[in-house]
Amino acid sequence: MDLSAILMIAALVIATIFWMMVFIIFYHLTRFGIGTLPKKFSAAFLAGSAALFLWNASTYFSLDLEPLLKLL
Amino acid sequence: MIKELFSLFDESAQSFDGQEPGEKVVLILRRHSFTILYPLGLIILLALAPAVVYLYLQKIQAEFVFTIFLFLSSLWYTGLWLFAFYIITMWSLNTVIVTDKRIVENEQNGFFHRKVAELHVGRVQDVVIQIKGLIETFFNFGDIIVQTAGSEREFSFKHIANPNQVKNEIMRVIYSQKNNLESF
Repeated sequence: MDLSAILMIAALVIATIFWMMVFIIFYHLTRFGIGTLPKKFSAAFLAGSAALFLWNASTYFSLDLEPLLKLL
Repeated sequence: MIKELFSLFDESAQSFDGQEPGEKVVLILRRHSFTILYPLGLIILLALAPAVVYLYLQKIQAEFVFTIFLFLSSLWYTGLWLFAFYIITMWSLNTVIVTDKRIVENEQNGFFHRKVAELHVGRVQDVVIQIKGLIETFFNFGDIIVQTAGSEREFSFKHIANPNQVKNEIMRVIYSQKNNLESF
């Protein structure tokens, strides 16, 4: 298995854990939150999480590991 | 459709899980926001770490190092984002609800550890407030201790904002209940 495949699997595992965490926090805020404040927090959290995920994905796909591998 | 979706922010203002029919919410209390300033301040400090690393990396003239740095920074900020909202979630789920019938305390310690205790307002004997130290006095927050009749345990709500005002509201609810008056 080459390095890019290992990295892809690691990225998928991290992304799964990330979205599980997002779901748990979002669920707690909307399901157990009392009053409007937790609902507003959950909306901001979901929007911010999606934006951060896009940033993660774009930086992951722009990774260039070839020069690093040559150095190793 | 969109209007209905956003109505969630208005309609759920005075409702909670387990609310009895006709039960009116008088107060929803949380710990003073000052109590989460310390962990959130720590997160802000940690958010500066990539900037410090970037200053060091500027000396290295290699494009691939910069792409790796950007990727690791994005992961770092994502971790901090989750940590910050974990703190905010715990803060917002620890509530005390005062209704015209009872006082409900929701205690959330971690995602899967939740405790709900309630006390009928008719059983309340005394309400004591405790404001300790310079910070609590300056920012106007403190502990509210609700004492009950007999050997029942007392309820203690920590770091509540405007404790004097809250105490007066609780006493007003108790007084109204005891005199069988509609308070609100």
